[in-house]
Amino acid sequence: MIRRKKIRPELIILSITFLFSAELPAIETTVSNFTINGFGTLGLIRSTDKELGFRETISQKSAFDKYDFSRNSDVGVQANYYATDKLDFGLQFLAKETYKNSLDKSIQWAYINYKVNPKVALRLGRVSAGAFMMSDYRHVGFTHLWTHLPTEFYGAYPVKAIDGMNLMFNQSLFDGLFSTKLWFGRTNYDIYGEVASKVNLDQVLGTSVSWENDIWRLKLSYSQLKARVKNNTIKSLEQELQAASITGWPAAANFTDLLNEDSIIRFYAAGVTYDSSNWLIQSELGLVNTDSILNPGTVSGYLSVGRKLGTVTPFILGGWSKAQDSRLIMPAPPLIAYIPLQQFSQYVFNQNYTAQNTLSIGARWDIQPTIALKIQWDKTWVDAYGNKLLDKLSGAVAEKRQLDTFFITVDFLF
Amino acid sequence: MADIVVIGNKDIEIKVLSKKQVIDIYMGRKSTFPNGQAALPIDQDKDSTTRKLFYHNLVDKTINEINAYWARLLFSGRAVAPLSVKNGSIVIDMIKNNKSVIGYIRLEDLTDDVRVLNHVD
Repeated sequence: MIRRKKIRPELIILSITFLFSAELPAIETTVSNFTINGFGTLGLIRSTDKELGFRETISQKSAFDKYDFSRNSDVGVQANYYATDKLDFGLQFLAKETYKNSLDKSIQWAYINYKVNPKVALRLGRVSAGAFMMSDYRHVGFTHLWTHLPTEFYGAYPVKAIDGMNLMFNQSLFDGLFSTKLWFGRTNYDIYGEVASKVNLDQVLGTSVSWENDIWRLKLSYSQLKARVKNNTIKSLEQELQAASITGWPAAANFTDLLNEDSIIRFYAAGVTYDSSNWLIQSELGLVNTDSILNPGTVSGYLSVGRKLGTVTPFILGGWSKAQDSRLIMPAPPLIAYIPLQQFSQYVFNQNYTAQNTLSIGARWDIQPTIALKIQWDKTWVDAYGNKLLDKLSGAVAEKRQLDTFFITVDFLF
Repeated sequence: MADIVVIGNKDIEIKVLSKKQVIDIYMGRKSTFPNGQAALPIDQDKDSTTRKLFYHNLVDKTINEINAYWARLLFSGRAVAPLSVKNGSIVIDMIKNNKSVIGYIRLEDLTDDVRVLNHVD
């Protein structure tokens, strides 16, 4: 039987990039209704721990303590067509290493945009959800100081777009621009790990308000969604616990509810950026409330301070993420026969606990108008079992751990 | 330091733009003049000293910061960066032929074919 090789979407996108890049000017374009622009990052990562490995999001694998060029690298291409003053179309592809990548996942934007008037626009298709300050451009390394977004804040929910609609309103306010956005739709993502899962997000509904001028950016957002975790292991576990609750371990029933594959998740986020001629300071805080042990609620945030010194901006960045509740500990069962079930249940619960802080020091050097070189050192402290955001060689690590990760990236626009 | 002037077509209603109005147009916050007429801003070449001076005087940003700003807007689907042309002569030619176009040049390159809307200093 002839086995056909699956065409990797990253190769398609790179081919398109090389096809066009020789013909394209830089980010600026000449007069045209049709524009193509792109961005990319070439990144090198080196972690030092053999069991816990850095990853940008929970949809990635880690290279652990090997040098790695692929996981922090990407390339994106965006095409826009402006049919009339009121109607335009957008399409963005991203090639990036993620778990269970596909052509569908590579499509970041695919929308029709209709300007009702100069202040109001309606967009349909694959559109921005925009819950966090940098959600809409999370893959465009050139837009921020660091070699990667703060993992404690952006790593747990690797979602940028929804299939649905959003409505945007802009209005001048004081010396800046006030914007509000509503969005509604659905999406999904994959979690890579010992208990790998697909998570479907339905009834995604959110709103944000923001204001920005040349120095300040402020944003508040609220969003909610219904999450369904699809994983056969968890389904089997739920059935076993249910059966155990009937046959001699009644307390097991309490945990089947917690393994509920459907959960409502609510996100609250606030962010601020101060960008003057000398300083670049940015911070976000986020609160996630859920009713599921498979997607437990967290409090997370980061603070970044950068000092501009000509073309070089050194920075320091602190990120933190902590589960709202203590790690769930399953009590000993009444019968020895249930111990394996209790141990496996505890193993599953341990995969979803977060207690992690990172301190980063680095610098960005703008070597060309559209090219930036960055270096960064992350020092991460992880509590016992608190390593949901990291990749694990064999399940959650039972003791506190510190790990160092080093990054070098070149971010560019074309 | 060279003076930079913002210029527009001589036949448009608008006689002057405030610095804030120029910022709103060049930072993608507004796509119209104050009277509601469409405004199409154009930039000079990315390596141009005039461009560097313009943004330094207008919003105290470097070219890299401006490029990062527009990348943020462009790749989040919010707005498109101003069109770019090679030099001040082309800016003047485009403005002469299109009432919507607004651009910037050095004061020493100014001609009678266009109207000065703002001095950016």
